[in-house]
Amino acid sequence: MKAYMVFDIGGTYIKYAVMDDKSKKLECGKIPTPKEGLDIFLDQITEKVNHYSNSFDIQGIALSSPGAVDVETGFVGGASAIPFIHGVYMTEKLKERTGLEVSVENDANCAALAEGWLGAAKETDFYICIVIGTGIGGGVVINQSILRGATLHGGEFGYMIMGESCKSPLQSTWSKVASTNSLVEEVEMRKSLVKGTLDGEEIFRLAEAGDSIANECITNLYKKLAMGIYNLKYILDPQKILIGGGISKRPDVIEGINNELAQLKDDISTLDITVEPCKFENDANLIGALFHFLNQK
Amino acid sequence: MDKYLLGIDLGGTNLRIAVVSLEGKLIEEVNVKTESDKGPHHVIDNMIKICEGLLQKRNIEAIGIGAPGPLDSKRGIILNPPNLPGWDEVPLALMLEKALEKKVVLDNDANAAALAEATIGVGKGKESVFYMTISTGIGGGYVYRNQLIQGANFCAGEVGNMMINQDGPMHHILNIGSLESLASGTAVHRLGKEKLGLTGHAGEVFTLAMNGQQEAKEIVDTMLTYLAKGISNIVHTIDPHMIVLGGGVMQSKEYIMPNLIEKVNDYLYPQIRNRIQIECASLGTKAGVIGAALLAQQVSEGDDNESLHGV
Repeated sequence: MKAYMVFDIGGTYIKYAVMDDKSKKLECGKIPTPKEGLDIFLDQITEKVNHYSNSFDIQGIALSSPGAVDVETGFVGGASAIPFIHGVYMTEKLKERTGLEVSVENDANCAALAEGWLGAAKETDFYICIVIGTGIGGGVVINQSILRGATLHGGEFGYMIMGESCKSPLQSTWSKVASTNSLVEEVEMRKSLVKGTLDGEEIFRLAEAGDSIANECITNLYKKLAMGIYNLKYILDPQKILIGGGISKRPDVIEGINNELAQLKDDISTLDITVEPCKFENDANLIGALFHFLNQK
Repeated sequence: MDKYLLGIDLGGTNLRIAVVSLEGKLIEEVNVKTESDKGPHHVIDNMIKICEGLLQKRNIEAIGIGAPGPLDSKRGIILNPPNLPGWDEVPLALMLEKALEKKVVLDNDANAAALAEATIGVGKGKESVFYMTISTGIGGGYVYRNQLIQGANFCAGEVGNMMINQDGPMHHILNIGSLESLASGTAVHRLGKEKLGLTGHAGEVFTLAMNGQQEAKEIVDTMLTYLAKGISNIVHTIDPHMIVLGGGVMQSKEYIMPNLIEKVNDYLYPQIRNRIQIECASLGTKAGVIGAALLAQQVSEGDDNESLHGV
C-alpha cells in the first residue's frame, strides 16, 4: 500500500507516523530525540523508514522541523533546543541514506498548513495561525501558501515588541510577555514560588478555585494576547485568526481573548476581531508536513 | 485602439485625474483644486466633467479612485473622512459608474500609493512590499506578488491603528498608544507646540532637529523610536522584501532615514538585523493617481464586465 513516512522533530521527542495521502495514520509512535548529534539522529530516522518499508510502499519522507527552513534547498537554519539539526541540508542527507524524496517545513508552518488543509481554516485562503506555548510562533497563509518572507522569517510575530523598555526591547517581545511560559513565570514570581513549581494547567485550576493572583495573571495574559492579535489584524486583516498550542484547547481561553479584543474597539478601529481555536492538537505538525510534501512539486 | 486606465486621486486639497497606460505610465494628467468646501456634489460634478473630457480622447478600460479614509471599498462608498468635510456616506463609485458608464473601483489613498510604489516605483521587481505613509496620519498598504492585499475587511495595512505604547497619550478617536498618535506628523506637531511653542507644521521641528536643536532632536527621536517599533512589528509578521516610506513627513528623509534604520535594527530579532531593505518612496505626488489607475486594473482583471456596485 502506498504511504508516506512523516516525522515531527521536537525538543523532547521525534513523533512519527506512516500516513496515507489523506493523512490517516496507519502506524505511529515516538522516540526520544537523540542528544548525541546529527549522525545518530539520521540513523534513527533511516531505521524507522527502513522498518516500515517492509510493510508499506513508502513514497517519501516529510519532516516538520524547528528553525528557519528553506523549503527549496532543504536547509534548516535558525536555532532550537536541538542544535545539531541546524546549519544542515536535511533533505539531501536523508535522500542519500534512503533514496527517497524528502521534504522539510518549519513546524509552526506545518501547524498552519494542517488547519488550512483539513482543519479550522479549511477553504480559507488567507489566515494567520498563532501557536502559544513556550513562546509564540505561527504562520501566515496567503492564497493557501505560507508567507515565507524575504529572510524566511515571515510569521515570526512572536518577536513583536510589546513592552516599553527601549534599552532591551528583545526582553519584552510578545513571546516573552504573552506565552504560557510567561504566565507560569509571572504567577510563580508573585507567589514567591521556586521556578518550575507550577505549570499552565495548574494555574488554570488555581484560577477556577478562586485564586486571585492566578486570575489576575490569566486576565493579563489575555490582554497581552489581544493587543498582539489586534496589531496583526491591522497589518494584514486576514479572513481568520486561529489560536493553537496547549492552552487553546480551553474554551475559556478563546472566550477570554475574544472579550479583551472586543474592548479594543474604538471610533476608528471598529472591526469585530475574533479568534478561533485550531482543530488539530498533537498531530498538527505531522498533518501539515504531509500536506507540504504532497504539494511541494 | 490601445487600452488605458483612468486614475483619480481625490485629496482634501488637490484633485488629480490621469490617463495611465496598462504598464503604469502616466500619459496625461489634469490637476485642479478639489474645492472640498463647496461640498461633494460640486466636487463630483467637476470630477465627471474632467473624466468625460479624457474619456473622449482615449479608450479607457476602467476607472480607479484613491480617496482618504474611512471608506467602504467593497461598496464604493466614501464614509466621513476628516479631510473631506461634509462627505457622509457618498456612493462615489456608483455615481461615477452611472455618469461615465465605466467600471469604477474605490480604495483608500494609501493602498493606491502602495500599489504604485510596489509595482512601478522603488519596489518594482520585489516579491513583497509594505508601503507606509507618514503624514497627518499613518496609513499603509501591502503588495504581495504585484497584488494589493486588501484584507477580509479592506483593513490590511491600516497600521496607524497598531498599539505601540499603552502608556502613551490619549487620541481623540484611536486607542491609547496607537502608532498614529505617537509617530505621525500630527504627533510631532503637537510636541513641537507643547515643548517649543512652535506654531507651524511638523516640518519646523525636523528643521530644528537637523540644525542640532536639542529639544527638537528629542521630539524626533521619540517619534522615530515608536515608528521603528511599528516597522519591526510589520517585519516580524510578513518579513517583506522592502519597506517603502512615503508621506509628507518623509520630506525630512535625510535626517529621518539613518536614524530610523538604526532604530529598526535595534528592534529586530538578531537574525534579521541589517537584512531588511527600507527605502523612500520614489514616485512623489504621482503615486496616488497612478496607483488609483492600477487598482482599476487589478479589480477588472478579476471580474467580468458588470458593474461592481450596481444594486
